[in-house]
Amino acid sequence: MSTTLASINQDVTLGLNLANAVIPMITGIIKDIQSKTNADGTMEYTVVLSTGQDNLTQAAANFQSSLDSINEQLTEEQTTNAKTVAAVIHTPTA
Amino acid sequence: MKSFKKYIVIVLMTICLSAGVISIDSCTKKPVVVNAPTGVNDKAVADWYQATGAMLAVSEGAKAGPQVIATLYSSKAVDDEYKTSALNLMKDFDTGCLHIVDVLKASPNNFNASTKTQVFTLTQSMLDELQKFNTEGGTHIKNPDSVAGFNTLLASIKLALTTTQSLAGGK
Repeated sequence: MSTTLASINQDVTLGLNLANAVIPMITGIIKDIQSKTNADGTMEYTVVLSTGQDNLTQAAANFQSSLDSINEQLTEEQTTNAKTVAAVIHTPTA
Repeated sequence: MKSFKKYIVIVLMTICLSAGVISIDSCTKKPVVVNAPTGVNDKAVADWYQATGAMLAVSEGAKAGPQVIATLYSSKAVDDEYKTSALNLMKDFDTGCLHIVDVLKASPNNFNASTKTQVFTLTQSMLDELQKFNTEGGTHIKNPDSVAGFNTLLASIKLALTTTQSLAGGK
Protein backbone atom coordinates (compact mmCIF):
# COMPACT_ATOMS: atom_id res chain seq x y z
CA MET A 1 0.00 0.00 0.00
CA SER A 2 2.74 2.44 0.84
CA THR A 3 4.47 1.73 -2.48
CA THR A 4 1.26 2.44 -4.40
CA LEU A 5 0.69 5.70 -2.58
CA ALA A 6 4.29 6.72 -3.13
CA SER A 7 3.87 6.20 -6.89
CA ILE A 8 0.72 8.29 -6.94
CA ASN A 9 2.40 11.03 -4.98
CA GLN A 10 5.18 11.09 -7.56
CA ASP A 11 2.50 11.70 -10.15
CA VAL A 12 0.99 14.59 -8.30
CA THR A 13 4.40 16.13 -7.68
CA LEU A 14 5.31 15.76 -11.34
CA GLY A 15 2.04 17.38 -12.41
CA LEU A 16 2.36 20.26 -10.01
CA ASN A 17 5.97 20.85 -10.98
CA LEU A 18 4.94 21.11 -14.61
CA ALA A 19 2.12 23.54 -13.84
CA ASN A 20 4.57 25.75 -11.98
CA ALA A 21 7.13 25.43 -14.75
CA VAL A 22 5.11 26.01 -17.91
CA ILE A 23 3.94 29.59 -17.31
CA PRO A 24 7.40 30.83 -16.25
CA MET A 25 8.84 28.93 -19.22
CA ILE A 26 6.65 30.80 -21.72
CA THR A 27 7.15 34.16 -20.05
CA GLY A 28 10.86 33.29 -19.76
CA ILE A 29 11.08 32.78 -23.50
CA ILE A 30 9.41 36.13 -24.05
CA LYS A 31 11.82 37.77 -21.61
CA ASP A 32 14.68 35.93 -23.30
CA ILE A 33 13.95 37.68 -26.57
CA GLN A 34 13.62 40.99 -24.72
CA SER A 35 17.04 40.44 -23.11
CA LYS A 36 18.55 40.15 -26.59
CA THR A 37 16.92 43.38 -27.66
CA ASN A 38 19.21 46.29 -28.46
CA ALA A 39 19.04 49.46 -26.39
CA ASP A 40 16.94 51.14 -29.06
CA GLY A 41 14.26 48.42 -28.83
CA THR A 42 15.35 46.62 -31.98
CA MET A 43 16.45 43.03 -32.43
CA GLU A 44 18.52 41.37 -35.11
CA TYR A 45 16.47 39.11 -37.36
CA THR A 46 19.17 36.43 -37.34
CA VAL A 47 19.07 36.25 -33.52
CA VAL A 48 15.32 35.63 -33.55
CA LEU A 49 15.71 32.90 -36.15
CA SER A 50 18.55 31.05 -34.47
CA THR A 51 16.98 31.05 -31.00
CA GLY A 52 13.59 29.99 -32.42
CA GLN A 53 15.20 27.17 -34.38
CA ASP A 54 16.98 26.04 -31.19
CA ASN A 55 13.58 25.92 -29.43
CA LEU A 56 12.14 23.78 -32.23
CA THR A 57 15.11 21.41 -32.31
CA GLN A 58 14.76 20.82 -28.56
CA ALA A 59 10.96 20.46 -28.86
CA ALA A 60 11.34 17.86 -31.64
CA ALA A 61 13.82 15.91 -29.51
CA ASN A 62 11.37 15.94 -26.57
CA PHE A 63 8.42 14.76 -28.69
CA GLN A 64 10.58 12.04 -30.27
CA SER A 65 11.71 10.90 -26.81
CA SER A 66 8.08 10.69 -25.70
CA LEU A 67 7.14 8.83 -28.88
CA ASP A 68 9.96 6.30 -28.39
CA SER A 69 8.88 5.70 -24.81
CA ILE A 70 5.22 5.27 -25.84
CA ASN A 71 6.18 2.80 -28.58
CA GLU A 72 8.23 0.85 -26.05
CA GLN A 73 5.24 0.65 -23.70
CA LEU A 74 2.91 -0.37 -26.55
CA THR A 75 5.30 -3.18 -27.51
CA GLU A 76 5.35 -4.37 -23.89
CA GLU A 77 1.54 -4.26 -23.86
CA GLN A 78 1.34 -6.36 -27.03
CA THR A 79 3.79 -8.90 -25.61
CA THR A 80 1.87 -9.12 -22.33
CA ASN A 81 -1.47 -9.50 -24.14
CA ALA A 82 -0.05 -12.19 -26.45
CA LYS A 83 1.24 -14.14 -23.43
CA THR A 84 -2.15 -13.83 -21.73
CA VAL A 85 -3.95 -15.12 -24.82
CA ALA A 86 -1.47 -17.99 -25.18
CA ALA A 87 -1.94 -18.92 -21.52
CA VAL A 88 -5.73 -18.98 -21.95
CA ILE A 89 -5.48 -21.14 -25.07
CA HIS A 90 -3.18 -23.62 -23.36
CA THR A 91 -5.15 -23.81 -20.13
CA PRO A 92 -6.55 -27.34 -19.95
CA THR A 93 -10.29 -27.44 -19.52
CA ALA A 94 -11.86 -29.76 -17.00
CA MET B 1 -18.84 14.48 -8.79
CA LYS B 2 -20.62 17.78 -9.57
CA SER B 3 -18.06 19.75 -7.60
CA PHE B 4 -15.28 17.95 -9.46
CA LYS B 5 -16.78 18.95 -12.82
CA LYS B 6 -17.13 22.51 -11.54
CA TYR B 7 -13.46 22.43 -10.55
CA ILE B 8 -12.43 21.26 -14.02
CA VAL B 9 -14.46 24.05 -15.68
CA ILE B 10 -12.82 26.66 -13.43
CA VAL B 11 -9.35 25.26 -14.18
CA LEU B 12 -9.97 25.29 -17.95
CA MET B 13 -11.35 28.84 -17.86
CA THR B 14 -8.32 29.98 -15.90
CA ILE B 15 -6.03 28.33 -18.44
CA CYS B 16 -7.75 30.03 -21.39
CA LEU B 17 -7.63 33.42 -19.67
CA SER B 18 -3.96 32.96 -18.74
CA ALA B 19 -3.06 31.98 -22.29
CA GLY B 20 -4.84 35.05 -23.60
CA VAL B 21 -3.08 37.35 -21.14
CA ILE B 22 0.33 35.91 -22.00
CA SER B 23 -0.30 36.30 -25.73
CA ILE B 24 -1.60 39.85 -25.47
CA ASP B 25 1.21 40.81 -23.11
CA SER B 26 3.84 39.34 -25.40
CA CYS B 27 2.37 41.08 -28.45
CA THR B 28 2.37 44.52 -26.85
CA LYS B 29 5.97 44.30 -25.63
CA LYS B 30 7.68 42.69 -28.58
CA PRO B 31 10.78 44.39 -29.94
CA VAL B 32 11.10 45.59 -33.51
CA VAL B 33 12.95 43.09 -35.67
CA VAL B 34 15.67 44.67 -37.81
CA ASN B 35 17.67 43.51 -40.83
CA ALA B 36 14.92 41.14 -41.91
CA PRO B 37 14.75 40.20 -45.59
CA THR B 38 12.51 42.37 -47.72
CA GLY B 39 8.84 41.52 -47.36
CA VAL B 40 9.17 39.74 -44.03
CA ASN B 41 6.69 41.07 -41.49
CA ASP B 42 8.25 41.57 -38.04
CA LYS B 43 4.99 40.73 -36.21
CA ALA B 44 4.89 37.43 -38.06
CA VAL B 45 8.48 36.73 -37.04
CA ALA B 46 7.74 37.62 -33.40
CA ASP B 47 4.63 35.42 -33.38
CA TRP B 48 6.64 32.60 -34.92
CA TYR B 49 9.33 32.94 -32.26
CA GLN B 50 6.80 32.85 -29.42
CA ALA B 51 5.05 29.86 -31.02
CA THR B 52 8.40 28.02 -31.01
CA GLY B 53 8.75 28.77 -27.30
CA ALA B 54 5.23 27.59 -26.53
CA MET B 55 5.81 24.37 -28.47
CA LEU B 56 8.97 23.83 -26.44
CA ALA B 57 6.80 24.11 -23.32
CA VAL B 58 4.28 21.61 -24.77
CA SER B 59 7.12 19.21 -25.52
CA GLU B 60 8.38 19.35 -21.93
CA GLY B 61 4.94 18.22 -20.78
CA ALA B 62 4.71 15.56 -23.50
CA LYS B 63 8.14 14.23 -22.57
CA ALA B 64 6.87 13.60 -19.03
CA GLY B 65 3.64 12.01 -20.32
CA PRO B 66 4.78 8.40 -20.85
CA GLN B 67 6.20 8.22 -17.32
CA VAL B 68 2.93 9.55 -15.89
CA ILE B 69 0.94 6.94 -17.83
CA ALA B 70 3.31 4.17 -16.73
CA THR B 71 3.06 5.26 -13.09
CA LEU B 72 -0.72 5.55 -13.15
CA TYR B 73 -1.15 2.04 -14.51
CA SER B 74 1.60 0.36 -12.52
CA SER B 75 0.09 1.80 -9.34
CA LYS B 76 -3.31 0.46 -10.45
CA ALA B 77 -4.73 3.99 -10.27
CA VAL B 78 -6.37 3.25 -13.65
CA ASP B 79 -7.84 -0.01 -14.93
CA ASP B 80 -5.59 -1.81 -17.42
CA GLU B 81 -8.25 -1.91 -20.15
CA TYR B 82 -7.73 1.82 -20.89
CA LYS B 83 -3.95 1.67 -21.09
CA THR B 84 -3.53 0.79 -24.77
CA SER B 85 -6.00 3.42 -25.96
CA ALA B 86 -4.36 6.05 -23.72
CA LEU B 87 -0.94 5.13 -25.11
CA ASN B 88 -2.21 5.29 -28.70
CA LEU B 89 -3.75 8.72 -28.10
CA MET B 90 -0.49 9.96 -26.60
CA LYS B 91 1.29 8.57 -29.67
CA ASP B 92 -1.09 10.49 -31.97
CA PHE B 93 -0.52 13.60 -29.89
CA ASP B 94 3.28 13.38 -30.15
CA THR B 95 3.11 12.66 -33.89
CA GLY B 96 0.78 15.63 -34.46
CA CYS B 97 3.01 17.93 -32.43
CA LEU B 98 6.01 16.85 -34.51
CA HIS B 99 4.04 17.98 -37.59
CA ILE B 100 3.47 21.38 -35.97
CA VAL B 101 7.20 21.62 -35.26
CA ASP B 102 7.94 20.74 -38.90
CA VAL B 103 5.58 23.46 -40.13
CA LEU B 104 7.17 26.01 -37.81
CA LYS B 105 10.69 24.92 -38.82
CA ALA B 106 9.85 25.45 -42.46
CA SER B 107 8.45 28.94 -42.00
CA PRO B 108 10.71 31.14 -39.88
CA ASN B 109 10.95 33.79 -42.57
CA ASN B 110 7.28 34.05 -43.30
CA PHE B 111 4.82 32.99 -40.60
CA ASN B 112 1.99 34.10 -42.87
CA ALA B 113 -1.75 33.52 -43.05
CA SER B 114 -1.38 30.19 -44.82
CA THR B 115 1.19 28.83 -42.37
CA LYS B 116 -0.77 30.14 -39.40
CA THR B 117 -3.87 28.35 -40.65
CA GLN B 118 -1.91 25.09 -40.81
CA VAL B 119 -0.60 25.57 -37.26
CA PHE B 120 -4.04 26.65 -35.99
CA THR B 121 -5.68 23.56 -37.50
CA LEU B 122 -2.99 21.21 -36.20
CA THR B 123 -3.12 22.68 -32.68
CA GLN B 124 -6.92 22.30 -32.68
CA SER B 125 -6.48 18.63 -33.59
CA MET B 126 -3.98 18.24 -30.76
CA LEU B 127 -6.38 19.92 -28.30
CA ASP B 128 -9.03 17.41 -29.43
CA GLU B 129 -6.54 14.57 -28.87
CA LEU B 130 -5.88 15.92 -25.37
CA GLN B 131 -9.61 15.88 -24.66
CA LYS B 132 -9.86 12.28 -25.85
CA PHE B 133 -6.79 11.44 -23.79
CA ASN B 134 -8.52 12.88 -20.75
CA THR B 135 -11.65 10.82 -21.49
CA GLU B 136 -9.71 7.60 -22.10
CA GLY B 137 -7.34 7.96 -19.18
CA GLY B 138 -8.20 10.78 -16.83
CA THR B 139 -11.86 10.08 -16.16
CA HIS B 140 -11.05 6.48 -15.24
CA ILE B 141 -8.50 7.33 -12.58
CA LYS B 142 -9.77 6.12 -9.22
CA ASN B 143 -7.57 8.00 -6.79
CA PRO B 144 -8.49 11.70 -6.33
CA ASP B 145 -4.85 12.72 -5.81
CA SER B 146 -3.88 11.06 -9.07
CA VAL B 147 -6.80 12.78 -10.80
CA ALA B 148 -5.42 16.11 -9.60
CA GLY B 149 -1.92 15.27 -10.84
CA PHE B 150 -3.17 14.04 -14.20
CA ASN B 151 -5.35 17.12 -14.71
CA THR B 152 -2.51 19.43 -13.79
CA LEU B 153 -0.28 17.75 -16.35
CA LEU B 154 -2.96 18.03 -19.06
CA ALA B 155 -3.68 21.63 -18.06
CA SER B 156 -0.01 22.54 -18.41
CA ILE B 157 0.21 21.06 -21.89
CA LYS B 158 -3.09 22.65 -22.88
CA LEU B 159 -1.99 26.07 -21.69
CA ALA B 160 1.12 26.03 -23.87
CA LEU B 161 -0.76 24.58 -26.83
CA THR B 162 -3.50 27.22 -26.52
CA THR B 163 -0.81 29.90 -26.52
CA THR B 164 0.60 28.49 -29.77
CA GLN B 165 -2.89 28.45 -31.24
CA SER B 166 -3.66 32.02 -30.24
CA LEU B 167 -0.43 33.18 -31.91
CA ALA B 168 -1.45 31.31 -35.05
CA GLY B 169 -4.88 32.88 -34.83
CA GLY B 170 -3.42 36.12 -36.17
CA LYS B 171 -4.08 38.43 -33.24
